[in-house]
Amino acid sequence: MNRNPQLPLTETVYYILLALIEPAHGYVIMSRVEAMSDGAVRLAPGTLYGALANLVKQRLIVRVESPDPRRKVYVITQEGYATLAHDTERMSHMMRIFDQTRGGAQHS
Amino acid sequence: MKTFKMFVDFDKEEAWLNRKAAEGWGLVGAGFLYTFAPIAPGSAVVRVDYRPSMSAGDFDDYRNLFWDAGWRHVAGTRGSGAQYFASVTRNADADIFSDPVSKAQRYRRAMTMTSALLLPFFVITIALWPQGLLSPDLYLTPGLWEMEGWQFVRAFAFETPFALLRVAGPIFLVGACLVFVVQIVYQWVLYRRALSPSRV
Repeated sequence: MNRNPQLPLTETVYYILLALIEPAHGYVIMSRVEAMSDGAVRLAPGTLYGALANLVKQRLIVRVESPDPRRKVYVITQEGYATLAHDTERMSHMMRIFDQTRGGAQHS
Repeated sequence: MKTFKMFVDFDKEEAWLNRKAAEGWGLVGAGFLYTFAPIAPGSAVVRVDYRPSMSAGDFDDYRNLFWDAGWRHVAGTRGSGAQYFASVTRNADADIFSDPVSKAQRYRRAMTMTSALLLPFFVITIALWPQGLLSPDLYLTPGLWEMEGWQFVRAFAFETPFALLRVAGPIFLVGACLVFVVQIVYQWVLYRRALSPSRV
C-alpha cells in the first residue's frame, strides 16, 4: 500500500479537517477545535489563516458559498475526508498495537 | 506622535511596539512612519503578521478572522505586507500564532517579497554590466586630461556635477541590490532561528 505523503497529519490539521465535516468560517472552526480537544488546542488567527490556505492548496478543503460575504466558509473535500480517515486508521492501529504490547508485558 | 524606525526582525518590532503600548502609546498607523495615539498604559498587546498582497475580499476575510478572535487590525494596507493587530488584554503572552512553525513562516513570506523586489534591480544591473556600469567614462569634456593649471580646474569643476549624475544611477542600482541581498540573508537567518528557538 502506498502511503499518503500528507500523513501523519499534525494535531492542528487533524482537528481543522474534523471541524470542517460541516461547513464553517474561521471563528467557528476555532470554537469547534477548542471544544473537540477539550480546550487543549487553541488556534490563533494567524496560524489558522495560514493553515486554511495550505489545506485549500492541497485540495483537502474547499471554499463554499458563504451567507456572509466578508467571511470565507470552507468544507472538507472527498480527498480531505479520505486523508482524515487514513490518519484515523493509522492512529487506531497504533492504539491496538499499544494495547497488545502492554497486554503481553503484563502476562510475562 | 509619529516616529521613523525600520525593522527586519518582527520579534524586535513587536517588542518595541509593546514597550510603546506600555508607555501609553497605541499603534494606529504604520507605513513610512509609525503613528501612535494615547491609550491607557499597558492596556494592549501588539502583534505583527506578514502577508503578500491580498484582494479586497481576501483582506476583509483576513481582518474579520482576527477580529472574531479578539484582534483589532490597527495598521497595514492590502499591499503593505506587514499587518499590525492589537488585542485589548493585559496578558503579554497573547499571540496571533499558536505554534512556532506558523510564527516562523512570517519571515519566509517576507523573504519571498524581498526577493521579488530584488529581481528587477538584479536583472537591470546584470544587463547593464557589460556596458561598463561601474567604470563609465565619467568626464566627457574633450581634451580635459590634457589641460593644465587653472583651465583644468575650471573644466574639471564644471564637469563634476554631471559626472556625479552619471555615476548616481549605477551606485543606486548596485546599492539597492546589496541592501536587498543583506535583507534576504537576515530574514533567512531569522526564519531558521524561529524554527529552532532552542538554539538562540
